[in-house]
Amino acid sequence: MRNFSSLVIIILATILYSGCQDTPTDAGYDALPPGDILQIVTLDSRVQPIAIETRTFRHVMSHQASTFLSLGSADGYQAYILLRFNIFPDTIGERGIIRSVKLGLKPAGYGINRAGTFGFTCREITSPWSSSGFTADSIASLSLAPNIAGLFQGSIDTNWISVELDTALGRKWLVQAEDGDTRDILGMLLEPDASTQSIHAFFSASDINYAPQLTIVWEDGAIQDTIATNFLDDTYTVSSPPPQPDELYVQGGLADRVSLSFDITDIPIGSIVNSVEIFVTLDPDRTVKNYRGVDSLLIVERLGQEMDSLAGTAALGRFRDTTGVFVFYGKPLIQAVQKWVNRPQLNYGFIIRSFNEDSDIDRYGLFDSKADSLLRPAIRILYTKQL
Amino acid sequence: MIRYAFFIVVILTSSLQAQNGSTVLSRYGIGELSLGTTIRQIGLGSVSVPVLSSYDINQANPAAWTTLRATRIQLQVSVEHTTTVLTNTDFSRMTSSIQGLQVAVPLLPKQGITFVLGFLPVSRINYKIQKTTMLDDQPAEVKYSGTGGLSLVRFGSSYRPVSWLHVGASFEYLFGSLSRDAVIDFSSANYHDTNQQLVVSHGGPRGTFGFVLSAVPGLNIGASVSTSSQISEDRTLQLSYVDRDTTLKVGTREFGIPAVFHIGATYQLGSRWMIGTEYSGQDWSATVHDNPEQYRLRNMYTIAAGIEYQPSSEQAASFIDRLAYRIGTYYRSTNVEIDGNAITETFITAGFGFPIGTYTRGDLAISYGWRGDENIPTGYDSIFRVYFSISAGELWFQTRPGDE
Repeated sequence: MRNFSSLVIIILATILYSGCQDTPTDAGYDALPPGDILQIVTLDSRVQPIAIETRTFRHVMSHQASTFLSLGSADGYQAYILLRFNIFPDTIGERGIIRSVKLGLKPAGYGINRAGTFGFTCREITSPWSSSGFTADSIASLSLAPNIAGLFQGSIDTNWISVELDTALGRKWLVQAEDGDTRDILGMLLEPDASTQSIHAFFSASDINYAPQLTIVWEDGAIQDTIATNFLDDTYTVSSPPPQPDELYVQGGLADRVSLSFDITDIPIGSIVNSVEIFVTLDPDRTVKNYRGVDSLLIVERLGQEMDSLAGTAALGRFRDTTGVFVFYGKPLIQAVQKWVNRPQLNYGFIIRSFNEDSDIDRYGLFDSKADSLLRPAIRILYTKQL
Repeated sequence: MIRYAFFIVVILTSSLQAQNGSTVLSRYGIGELSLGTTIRQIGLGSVSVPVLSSYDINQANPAAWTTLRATRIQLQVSVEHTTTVLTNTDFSRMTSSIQGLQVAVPLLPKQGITFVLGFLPVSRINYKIQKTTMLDDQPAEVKYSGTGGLSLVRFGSSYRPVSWLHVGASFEYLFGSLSRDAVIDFSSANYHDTNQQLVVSHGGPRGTFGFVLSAVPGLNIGASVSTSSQISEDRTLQLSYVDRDTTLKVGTREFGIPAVFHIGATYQLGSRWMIGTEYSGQDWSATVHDNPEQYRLRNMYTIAAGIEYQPSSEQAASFIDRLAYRIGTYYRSTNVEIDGNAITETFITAGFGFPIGTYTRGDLAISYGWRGDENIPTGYDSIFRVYFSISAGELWFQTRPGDE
């Protein structure tokens, strides 16, 4: 009896578990009712015209994390550098004699009209500032000492340049350090002089090897010492005439961005968005690559009426040399378009910006919505209708 | 008894993983309809309503519970292997399923008063289709699958007012969900996969009434009717978007399941042989399910016949003498129509029953059948099924022979 019960259990278990094998094929596909079949649809603005809006606008930005610090004046651009060295020895103060104070900057090899004349002055800043949130508009409200603390005139290659600074300024910073008033050290502004016709990029504090350096040679009796520091807070600003809205381009440094929106209300609400591709064609005649000229742009969803209300994750647009087109794709675009499909009132479009917007004053001319149908921005959406 | 009950619960739980694709025909209506018979009756070609038994808890006819002896729990399982031939291809698949669980408690055996509680399958939707294709110049797998089905819980009783008449009735509540998934899997990570799941949930009552006439020695005539049932139908659509899943209520209404009737007869040839036949039907032709524009169902009927041979039913007989041997056949015109053609199936069945101790019996049945046509979209199916059931019994509320 016990053996028989075991046999029963084995039979039951074998029968139930033997059904786990399964190799689905396409057999029976034709027997599915038409309403069961998923409908994949493509919305391609190059095939099916839809309303497209494009516009260039200026996004006033700060450059506290920039790789490069641009300085100079050329082609309508004005660039300034702000530096604040804020760690000094607190044991020197008024003692001894300061033999020299020198500022070192390492050129990055990029700039605008780099062969043009170049010169700048250094002046002490006397009003508080912070690299965080400091923009081109902030320059006007900056207070400066009346005297020029340093001056540079000369040509620039990739070698370090050195600017002799007023030793009184160095003494002031050492005294402030001894007094524990390092927060009162406000640094200096580097301002292009009137004859300057070029802009040069210098490495910023974010590059530990080529960060700006301040060197103070100090002597006290028989003791001579050299104080060198590259601990600093730095930023730069760049300004130019405002962008023309009917001329579509993105530009770093300033930063000029593109607003791009598509009317996708032809897609039924509730559809599942499978892929999104956006095509933007480069106009080589209006493109100027002064800096690294990276062949990528970034696109990000605009979240509201404000131009700086943007989603956190951007999608990369790669330039296709063969077609002269930037192609954007990826999950952030799918997420944005899916949201607009289900809630069309949230469609504020996309913002395109340059890849190194923070540091590189490169300009990418783009064909706008009024351009020829093959050149204007386009969107291609693959979606699945609801069953 | 407790040992068996525990085992059955374990099996029921574990077998939830064992449901895999069967035929796309189950896409239609409320799914592939269950035969509604026990494994013993499948061996008999699915002859069910006139079959009286001391151990086999009839699924189709509550009147047949009057002859049950001992309190019983009965579990049925099956495994199916199907080979489908289409115009240029053929493929195979296996599935397994629980065919029902019933508990019978004979309170007053002499009056035939037996209460039965049961959990039985009514239908199942169970298919998987997978197609490799190019979408938007990207390789993709398009998958369609259906799972779920309707089941019923029942509570009923039988009664034998006179020696030649057995009557019974049960209240049944039908419930379950039919789920259809439509999926597109893109191989590229830059594409979001489509995943839509439509779930149609049903729930509603019906009754089953039956009788068996034993007026002529050796001859049993049985019939049963399960009433038509208006059951609720709630539809929800689940959509998987790139950033969230959304469930939409897409409709609530009532759906009518038509009445089922069975009529059949068995005749005892001496003490060892029994022959039987049965006709059953369910008219789905007026029923519209799911999407009225897409398809309509049709009248379903089944014709069955079978023979059983059992050398002895005496408990004192040897194990070999207490084995039962069966053979049968049935023909069913299903409720599905494809391209204007009724889908029919023909099965040849065989089985045997065996004792396990004094009050417990097992039944094993096999069936081989064919369905459809090579030239229709669902193809020609060759189907092989193995069934097994165990009816575990113990005497409750009764005295064992010799204990009086």
